[in-house]
Amino acid sequence: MRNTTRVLAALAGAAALTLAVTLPANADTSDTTATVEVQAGALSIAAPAAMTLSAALPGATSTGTLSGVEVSDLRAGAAGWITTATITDFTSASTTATIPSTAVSFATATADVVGTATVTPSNGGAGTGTLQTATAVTGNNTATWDQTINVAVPADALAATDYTATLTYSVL
Amino acid sequence: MRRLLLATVGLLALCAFPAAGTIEASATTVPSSAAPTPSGIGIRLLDIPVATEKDPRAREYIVDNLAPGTTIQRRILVQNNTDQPQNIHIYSAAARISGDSFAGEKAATQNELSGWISADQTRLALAPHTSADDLVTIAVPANAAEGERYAAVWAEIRSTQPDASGSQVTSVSRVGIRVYLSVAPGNGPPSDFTITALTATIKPDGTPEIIAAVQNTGGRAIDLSGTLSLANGPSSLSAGPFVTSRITTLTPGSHGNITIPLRTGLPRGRWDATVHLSSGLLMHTTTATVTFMPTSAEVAVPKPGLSLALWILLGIIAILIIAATMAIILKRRRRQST
Repeated sequence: MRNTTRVLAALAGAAALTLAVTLPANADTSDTTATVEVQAGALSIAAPAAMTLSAALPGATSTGTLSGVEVSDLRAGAAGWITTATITDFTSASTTATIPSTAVSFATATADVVGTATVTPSNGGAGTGTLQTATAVTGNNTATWDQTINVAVPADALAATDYTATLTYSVL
Repeated sequence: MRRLLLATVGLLALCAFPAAGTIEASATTVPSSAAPTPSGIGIRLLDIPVATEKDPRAREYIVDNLAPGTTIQRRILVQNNTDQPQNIHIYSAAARISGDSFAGEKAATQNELSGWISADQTRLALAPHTSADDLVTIAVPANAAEGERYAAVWAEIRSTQPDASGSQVTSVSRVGIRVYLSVAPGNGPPSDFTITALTATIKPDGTPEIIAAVQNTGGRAIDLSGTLSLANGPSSLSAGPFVTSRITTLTPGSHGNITIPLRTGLPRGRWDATVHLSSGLLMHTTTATVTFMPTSAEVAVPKPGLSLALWILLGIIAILIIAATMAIILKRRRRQST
């Protein structure tokens, strides 16, 4: 019985510490609409800067994986977030051919989540798509996952070693 | 002997109590006291109107109703959590609600609302692990049409390309703050939604789901998520709460389906389902009776041929015939012998 009481007291203490996100009492009165400053962290994304795609013959699929794409939501709130990605066409400086962005599909691994949030992966196609959706969020949470990109090289693609594209990760 | 048994039981009970205490402690998720360290670039809305400070949506997004001709300013915080100095590009771009989701448009595509939004500093050069404020101004022109519009304020970094390793894909990372701006005099139209139906379905892989049909009956977009609890099921079971699989964003006047996946192995039959959905401070709850029908794979298919009962009946008749035959034979033998 004593042990249960000790555990409950420890839990109550921890709960009190985590609820210590407070708003300052003074409002910013320089704006005509009274506003209040919210003190908490930010929503951030970190994606590895470089990714290499495997070489592929026309008609085959080229694959590349970015490991450790991370979104940290330290806003200590209850709103979720959505991470999406879009990619531009692959262009080559040495040839005029392009590989259209519609040939690119995204395969998203299940994220490792720290914190209270349900993060659901989804796969995108045709060069764009939602990657991860976080819902049922309570407080700070961080999700890390590996993102794979598959490029279905068209059968009429021209050979080149310098195809490049820009991949944009957006989290909202 | 009995005393020894009682003593053993008593000792075991005492040992179980501290074990129960430690099990409780490990099962509860106590947040760690160390602050998590973010990486990449971050953004945060700093100023929110006092009137909406309790609204969880207004704390993360710029949600406002403005009369035509009004200008508002909101500070945002931009963080560089990387180990290199970064040139962060801050800009506003169009966004739309499609597929029941709030989505930013590609790159710097503009719409009417993003044209009204400007940032004080569009380029922020930040040293590693530093942050800075920026001021975002939204100026609604006097001739703006009424209605709600959507945009996003982005903070973006671009990796330098091509780099020495010859990688083919340049990475651009951007974080944004959603803007849901309604232009209307006064306080603008209210938000509301109705849960019109609850349907129980079973996916082809056997996972049960509840689908809630929702109608946005208000004048503002809503971001819906929530929980579902089941009660009064077969054998008086309860289950849940289960959470919605994603946040469903609905524009005014539109309707959508919200999916709540349940646990595989949930007993089929009738359940009372109670769904709580909320968008910011707006909440509605509905209870309905739903029935999960067993799928064709789960219903036992009767074997072709005669049923078991029929076989038993045939067996009894056969035994009776054999018994009768034997009785007749025995009687005849007795007659012959007498």
